[in-house]
Formats: sequence, C-alpha cells, structure tokens
Amino acid sequence: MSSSSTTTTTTRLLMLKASDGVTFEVEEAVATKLGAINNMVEEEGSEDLICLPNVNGKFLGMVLEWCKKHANNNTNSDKGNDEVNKWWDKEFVMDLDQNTLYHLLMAADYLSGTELVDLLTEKVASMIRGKKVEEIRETFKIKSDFLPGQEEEIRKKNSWAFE
Amino acid sequence: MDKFFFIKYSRTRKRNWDNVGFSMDIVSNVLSRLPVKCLLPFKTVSKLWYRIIGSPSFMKMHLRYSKDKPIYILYPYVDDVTDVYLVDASGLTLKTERITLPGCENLSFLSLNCCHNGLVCFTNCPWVPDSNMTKVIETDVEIRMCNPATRDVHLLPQGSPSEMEPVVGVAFGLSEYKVFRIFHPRSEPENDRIECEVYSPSTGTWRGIGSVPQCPMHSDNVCIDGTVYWFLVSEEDHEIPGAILSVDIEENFRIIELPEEVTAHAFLIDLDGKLSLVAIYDDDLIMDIWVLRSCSDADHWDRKCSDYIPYSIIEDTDAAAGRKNEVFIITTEHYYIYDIDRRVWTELDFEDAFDRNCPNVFSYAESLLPSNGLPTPEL
Repeated sequence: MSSSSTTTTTTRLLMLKASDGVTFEVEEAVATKLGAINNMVEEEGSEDLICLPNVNGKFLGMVLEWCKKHANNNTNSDKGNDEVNKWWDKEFVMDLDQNTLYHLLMAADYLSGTELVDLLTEKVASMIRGKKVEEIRETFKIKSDFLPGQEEEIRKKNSWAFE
Repeated sequence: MDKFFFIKYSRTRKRNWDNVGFSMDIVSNVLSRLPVKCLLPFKTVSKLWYRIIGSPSFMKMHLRYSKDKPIYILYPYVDDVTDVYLVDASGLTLKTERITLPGCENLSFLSLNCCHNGLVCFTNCPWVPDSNMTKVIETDVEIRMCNPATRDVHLLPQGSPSEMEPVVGVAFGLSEYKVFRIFHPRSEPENDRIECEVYSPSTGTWRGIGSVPQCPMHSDNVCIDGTVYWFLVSEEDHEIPGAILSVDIEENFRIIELPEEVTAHAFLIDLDGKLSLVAIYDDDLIMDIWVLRSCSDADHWDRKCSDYIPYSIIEDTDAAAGRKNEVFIITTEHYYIYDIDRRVWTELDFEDAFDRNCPNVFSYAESLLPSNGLPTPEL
C-alpha cells in the first residue's frame, strides 16, 4: 500500500490474528476504531500479536476493511466526509447475504465496533421490516416456544396489527 | 507473548439468531429500529421476543430512535369522531395516517391536551346520567391517557368534586408519568381556593397536594424535561395569556413571566427540547418565536425569530406545535409549516382529508409505552 503524503506522522502497526491463523497487519488508528482493540492497546500497549479466537479471517478482514475506510475518511476534515461515509456504508451492506451479515454482526459486536454494529443492525432491521411472523421464524430459525393458547392471547390483544 | 482476547460468551453457542446470551443485545438493537406497527406482531415470534419487546429498557431504546424522527399528531376535533391523524411532512410527499382510538365512542367533545413519549392525554366532560347524551356535567372531566401507536387507551379514575371544569396536565418523567388535576374544591365554595391532585400509575389513585397559586387558562399544556407548562390569564384581559404556570415532576409550582405582551393567539410549544412561545400579532401580521433560557433562578427569553405570517388578518391561528427547528401552524383556513432556519413557510395540502373544528396539533414520536403506565404483564 502506498503511503499518502498526508500521513507524515509515523503510524504504529498492529498484528491481529484470526481464529484460523490468518494474520492482519493494520495501522493502530484503523484497528482502534474497534473498542475492544482500543482498550487492549491502551491498557497493555501494542507490542505483541493480538489473537482474536472468536473471529475467522474472512470476517475479521471485512471488519478491518470497514475500519480502514472510516479511519481514512475521518482524517480528512472535509465537509463531505459524512456523505462519503454514508455512501460507502450503503455499498458495504448492500449485497451482504444473511449468513455473512450474521457472522459480521457477531464479529463487530465481539470487537465492540459500535458504529459498525449500528450499521449492520440497521441493515437487519430493514430486512425484517414488515415481514410476517412465520417468515421471521424461518429467517432466524426460531421455534415458537409458547404454550398452547398464549400466542393467540397476544394476537387478540393487538388484532388490528396482524391484519 | 501472544495476547488472547476472549469474551463473555462461549464458543459452543448454537448458530442462530435467537440464542440468548449472545444475541439478546443484538436482537434488541435490531428491533428498536422498527415501527410499533411492525413490532406488535413480532411479540408472537417467541417468548424471548415477547419479553424483549415488552421490557421497559427496550421501550426506552425504541423511543430514543423514534424521537430522532418526530412527526406530528393532529386532532381535527370534529363532532363524534375520535380520529387522530399522524402527519409526516418531512419528506417530499405529505404522509398521513388516520387512527381511530378504541373505547372513545359516544363521548362528548374530546380535547387533545398534550402529547409526549408517544402518549397523548384526552379530556372530555362526562354526560349527565339519563340525559340521553344531550347534556354534559360542566364541572368535571374524564381523563384518558392513550397510545395511538398501540391503540391502547386508559381511563383514569374520577377525581374530587369541583366547582369548575378541572384543568389537566401530564408530567412525563424517565420511568413514569404523573397527571396533575387542578380544580376548585366543592367543599369550600365561599373562597377561591384552587387545589391540585396528582394521579400516578403505580398507585392508580388521586392524591391531594394542596393549593395552587392560580388556575391555568385551559388544559392545553406542554411537557419538557418532566415539567408541565400552562398559560395563566392576563389580569387585564381574560382572553389572553399573561404568564405561565409550571409544575415539575417533584410537584413544585412556579410562575414564569412572558417576554412581552401577547395576543389571544399565543402558544406554548416544545422546540427541540426547549420551552418556546409562539406569539402571533394579527394586526401586524407578525409571528414572534421566543425560547426560554432558565439559568440559576432567573428566567430569560431569547427572541429566536420574528417574521411575517403568510395568511390574512381575517384568519385566526388555532394551534401550533414545534418539531426540531420548525413550527406547525393551524389557522382557520390553512395548515403551515414554518422552517425557522430558512425562514420559509410551506402550506400543507391535505386534500380535504378531514373537516375541522378547534383543531390541535403536537409533535409526536411513537412509542410502545403502555397508556396505563404499568409494566407489561408476564405470560
């Protein structure tokens, strides 16, 4: 990667290792977009390899890609940055299939990437908006655990909303 | 040495979205972004989803998102019809949704007095028994707390007997609301003592809190940060407001002076979380908007803007509401939105969606909060 002329300060690099052994070398400013990494660096420094046994390489890579974009865009203090970030976020989540979205969300949550969690939960919300209860159960592989009659009872209370 | 970063949940978790532990926060986060209409059916997905959607912490989170994009609730106040309209004028097209509140049929004229946290307060005079719904008791009101989004209506118990129509106001705290009822006790007709009683959902009863300095002009009120504000009449002219009476959730009353003389067409509104006064000066065709700044005991009004109104002197201004940096104005003929930053009036065209008579309008953010103020029952 070519270093741009704007980054004149020496940037420290962190080594992150995913559950499947894949390692990533990323700038500290990028990785610390993730609350969990930021806490670790602040508490214990950034000399060593950071192992992340709950995220595999594929999803860690995607999370870091998001961080990189946002860290870079934030260093330029352009007014249009918000717009750029928004546009880029839209692209980022546009074609995610459900499985990827799920794992990515787990990874983002695990790494305390609050902004990314917000982006992904918003995407999930838009996917389930207006879906029928049966479709929700199917999508999320949820089994109804109500006792006989309970579901009907809840339904009756808000019958107008089920039409 | 390598660092291992383990976390709160086990790696042997099942791979699905409904797994407690991992996804409770995530599921809440996702659901809190959905409209109420969408969430009510989702209560029947599973016990976990029922519990999440009914939990007070979830309702708060949901309300926070909802408050980011407030709309308006409009009550045209037409005979025998208890319909409210949700009006979203933020986009390019005007969106309206009509909601008929259940259990409000065959009542005398309802007034919509205030709206906060997705709950509205309606009052009406009760019918004289056996009058065949032709006469009302003018010295009492029935008070209903309603959540239009969930179609949930709660009728409050009757208050103490009064010599005049009681004035009502609702203070919304972080976890509970309190209804204030200001009345003239019937036991003491010889003096002009004005008293107040308070209803709280946890007790379900009225409790007297003693006398009040003055009685508000009418029940129209606005609640900001747990404090209720009403107009008090001017000493010179009982048709126009002369000051403001406020009461906070701790039940402390206070009188606040107005920044200057106003006309009968003055309104208290919530403008981006601040008490504001919209004053229309019909003769000069001017609208002034003042914002209250309270700093250590002293009240100070800042004039936020002053502009010409786009309607003629023959039109009355009936109601006003605030949302972020705009004001919604209803006149006898028109509906307008005034953008304070851009100083632009936009007329809303509802294409005869409803007739009107003494309409009222408030800013509105839908919520799941129960109208009775009590927690969702367990299954």
